Amino acid sequence: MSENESELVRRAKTDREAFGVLYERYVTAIYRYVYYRVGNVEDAEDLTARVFLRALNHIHRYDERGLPFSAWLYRIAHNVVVNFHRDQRRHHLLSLEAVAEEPERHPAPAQHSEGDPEAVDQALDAARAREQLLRAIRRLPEDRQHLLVLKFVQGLSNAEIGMIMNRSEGAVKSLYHRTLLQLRTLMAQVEQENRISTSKP
Amino acid sequence: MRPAARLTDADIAWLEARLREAFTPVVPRAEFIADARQRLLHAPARPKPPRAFNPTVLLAVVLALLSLVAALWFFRRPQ
Repeated sequence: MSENESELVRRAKTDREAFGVLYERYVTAIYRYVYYRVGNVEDAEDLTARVFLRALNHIHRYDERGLPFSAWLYRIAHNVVVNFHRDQRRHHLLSLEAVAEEPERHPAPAQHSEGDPEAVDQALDAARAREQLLRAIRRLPEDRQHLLVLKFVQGLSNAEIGMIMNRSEGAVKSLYHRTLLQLRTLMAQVEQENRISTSKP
Repeated sequence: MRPAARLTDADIAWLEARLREAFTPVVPRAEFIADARQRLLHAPARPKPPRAFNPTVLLAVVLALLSLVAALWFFRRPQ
């Protein structure tokens, strides 16, 4: 943690404005993390606010030695998301599948396909492939989804992810490899299910 | 795609490219950022639990009492 941030965190324990600065610094990152774990804007906003409220209420317990403030926030976010999923499981809501079904809220980058039928087809194929991939990711165990979001949405290194997940860098690397292996199998399953559902009369 | 027991470097590169495409960066709404900040700054301070209910202190007290009882029982005078 930079000296500047260290000082800011120390002040934030008693000063709301300092906490506000930390909030502005991390709100987008935490929102992105939560969005890809829960799958829709409303819940992502609600849970992101909850993460920061919890952080505010517990910041007096935060001790920076060994754990960066951002890693501490991601741990809170993970706990908030796990609690959310536990509650939602009763209602059978699926997060990343919901992301796949909510393209208009956070669309994938535009493919410049207007007026070109071939480009339109390509854009549709890409959207379908993304949807299938997100569906496959959703079938992974929680800790593996957590790892993929930290790596690909947050762009964190294995060492940084290790700090958040309380694992060694080597353990993260090994988990990542097993995750990719499982993901490939799940992608094949989802693809097969899709083929069966589209071939039905 | 056939499921196999191991991944080649090419498999990993392909999967990582797909993942990078799927996880497009998302940005929260500006209104949400501002509203949540206001709510945070004006949230009532959560009172800290009284010291008497600190679980560590309570555990220490219980252990001390148990030790005292055990010591009294061990050193009791024979009747």
